[in-house]
Amino acid sequence: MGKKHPSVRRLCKYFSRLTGQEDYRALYSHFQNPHDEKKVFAATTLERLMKQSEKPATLVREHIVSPAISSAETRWLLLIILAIFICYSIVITTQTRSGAEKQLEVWQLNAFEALNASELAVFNALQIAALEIEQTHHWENGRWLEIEELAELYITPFVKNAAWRKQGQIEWSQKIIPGDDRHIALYRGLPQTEDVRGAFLLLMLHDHKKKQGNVSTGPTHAPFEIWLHKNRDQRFPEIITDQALISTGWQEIVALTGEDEVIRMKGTAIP
Amino acid sequence: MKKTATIVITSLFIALFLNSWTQASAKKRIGVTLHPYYSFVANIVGDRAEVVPLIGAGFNPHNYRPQPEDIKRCMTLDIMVVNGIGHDEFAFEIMEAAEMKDKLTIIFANRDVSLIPVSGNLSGDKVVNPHTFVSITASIHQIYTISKGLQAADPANADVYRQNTREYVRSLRKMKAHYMQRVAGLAELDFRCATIHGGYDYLLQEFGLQVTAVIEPGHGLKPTASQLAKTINAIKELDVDVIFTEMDFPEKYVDTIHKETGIRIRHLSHLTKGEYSASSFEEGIRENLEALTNALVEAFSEKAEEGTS
Repeated sequence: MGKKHPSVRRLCKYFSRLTGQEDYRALYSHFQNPHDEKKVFAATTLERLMKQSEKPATLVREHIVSPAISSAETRWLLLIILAIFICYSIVITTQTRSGAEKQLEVWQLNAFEALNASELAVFNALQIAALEIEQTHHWENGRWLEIEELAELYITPFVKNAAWRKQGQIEWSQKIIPGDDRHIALYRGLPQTEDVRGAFLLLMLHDHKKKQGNVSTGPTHAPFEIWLHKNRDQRFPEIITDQALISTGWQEIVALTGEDEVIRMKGTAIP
Repeated sequence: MKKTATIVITSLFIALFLNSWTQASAKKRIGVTLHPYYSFVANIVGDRAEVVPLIGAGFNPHNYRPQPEDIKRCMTLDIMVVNGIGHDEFAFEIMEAAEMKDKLTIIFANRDVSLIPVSGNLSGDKVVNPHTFVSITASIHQIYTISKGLQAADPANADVYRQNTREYVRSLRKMKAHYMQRVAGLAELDFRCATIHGGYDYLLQEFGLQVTAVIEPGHGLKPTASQLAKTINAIKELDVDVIFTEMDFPEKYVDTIHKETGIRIRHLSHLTKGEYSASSFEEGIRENLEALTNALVEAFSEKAEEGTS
């Protein structure tokens, strides 16, 4: 070390001040000789001391702080998670399985749940056809539309179109039961393919209003009903009462309607 | 004095009579929530009542938030026609905010409609399909229900409403018959289709068809990558003939499926977009019937060619 390094000199001065020595030269002389073993030792010692003097040591104390209610907190968290899970399960179940909610009699079928796609299409089409048949009967002096007329008016499921071919190829026939106060028309459909599993019966009931004193009596039943029989070749019923139809194996098909859906969604019936 | 009193009383009677006569002869204001219901009501009432869309054209009813002007508009109505089963919940919020819920005659168009499940639901659950207005048959049922409600609420015009209803229903039924005849010769066709969402079940039901798979996992939601992969595999396995996509739906999902499967894409309309007009339902449903029958004819031709080669 021919040339004195200024940083080494400053370190020596610094160390001398720390140790209370007035003259730093004795220490610095060790650095004059490049082979002096003390040089290396002195340098590392100086460095360490300098660091200690610049960064005074701090006392670190570690405390493990445990939650006051650690076990209860875990239990509450688990309970909340469980409650959320249960609530969502209930909501999802009630939102998706609406068809199962409709309360039916043992002799009734839920169209939404029990019918296949072809049967449901025939059932839905019959509902619209029934409205047309009822209106014609009401406005045209008690006349019931015939099968051929329904087909000519493009009314499904009576018109033999592409859908008819895929939905059981049902052959329809009509029977009218005249009466004084109640007019009844039956439209029976027998499927020709396996797409539809039984015979359909559209039962049109029309009560003609009559006066009882000053009170006008209206119909006490729906204007039409739709029934299904497992026998694909079932004949027309002879007696038209619920009991007679049930006892001969007919089952009434009940739609899942928009009104049912409103009740499910809002919890109240349509006013 | 006696003469003055007589004049005052007579004037009051005349004023009362004129007021009641004006009210009786004033056109009913009928609010509607979705485009098809505007068409239905406009065709039923003709010029005997005023049809008022509750929200402006161009808004998406699925995520609509009520605006102050909607509330003001609602307060001017006499009758409200709603779908009521999931597409126009905003109408109930507006009626609530306008404090009109108990003052309006509310007609639930789907009250008596027989609902069907969403077919092609990959989860297998039976979920009610609320898109009853994307069809002819279920729409006719709603038109009858709306007409019946309007006849009861506005008895002075009941006969006109009844007559208009029959004519409108007849024209719709005729339109359906026309397209049915187009595909009458395709009876043996085993047609399989996928749709971008479960809105077309009622329409396809009219043709004796069923959706094989619904690509959209939920209404208004986009499929995730894994759902898309699952759908692509399902379509490949089920040998789908065509994919019906929604107008204005982002094409990238459908394009991906098209590239992966090579299946043709056709567009159907949800019928809840564009301007409100009396003819919009007929125009929209005609386009749907055109697209559907075109797809059927193409699929039949291809299968017939495959059979002969």
